[in-house]
Amino acid sequence: MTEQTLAEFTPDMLQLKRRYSARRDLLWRAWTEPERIKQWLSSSEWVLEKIALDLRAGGDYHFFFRSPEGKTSEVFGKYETVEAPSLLVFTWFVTGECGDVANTRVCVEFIERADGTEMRLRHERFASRTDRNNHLTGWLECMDRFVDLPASMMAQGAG
Amino acid sequence: MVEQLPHADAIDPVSLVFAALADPTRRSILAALAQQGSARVTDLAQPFRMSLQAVSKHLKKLERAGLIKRDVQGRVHRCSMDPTTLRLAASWIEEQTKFWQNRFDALGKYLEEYDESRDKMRDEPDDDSL
Repeated sequence: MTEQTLAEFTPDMLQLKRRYSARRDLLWRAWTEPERIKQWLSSSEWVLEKIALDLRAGGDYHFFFRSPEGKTSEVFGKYETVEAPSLLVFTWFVTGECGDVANTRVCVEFIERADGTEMRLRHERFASRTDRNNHLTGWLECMDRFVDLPASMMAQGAG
Repeated sequence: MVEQLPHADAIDPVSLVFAALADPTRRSILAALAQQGSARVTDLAQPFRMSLQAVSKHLKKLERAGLIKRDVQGRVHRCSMDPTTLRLAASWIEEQTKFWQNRFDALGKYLEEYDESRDKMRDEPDDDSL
């Protein structure tokens, strides 16, 4: 049985943890073997039709999705770290009719537990640290000013 | 070959928002608009002692990011803030979280297919080579 996902996030990153009763090497294979990836990365909305992947640091991967209405979408990127069976880090770029998302980074960790495996996924909004820091500063400053927008707009006088 | 895509910013609305907000002058312009509701472009330029051209460049970036709306009536250009966009920028987190949670469920179902008696996934053939 799958357990609850524990989630935490900042404006530019989300982190999810989940326990599975499966062994770690099976989790690893599910994430790294094309025929297995197709089995779970597909959804009813987006079917993973084609996969090309070069599983090594610096290697590319490319997922090609199709919707029942015939729309297409692609996810692709590079593997940055491939440490079987514990750590997989890759950039993740989505493009297509479902909406374009710029280069992000996904880190997946597989930790052996007595009753199975703990999987931790971190998805970072920016693949480059400099970009992220610059943008996070801007974002956080604006969050303070604008999140309570209705209140501030109704406030009298200068703020 | 996956290189840094050259027009990534041009096609990614959330990056545009972050890029627009990363500049302190633009944040000040946005703050001014949040307080005033709307303002003429000429009035916006004044506190910064900036040329209209310079302010216009900033306004274009804010407009392109969907953070402000521009309204032209005759020769008067007015700007107002569009609060929806800031809220949409936050939705990337929500969407990605939902996406992964759904995929984790699917992964769990897929792993349940593992056939313990054969020590293989159910769809794996037995080794016939021996």
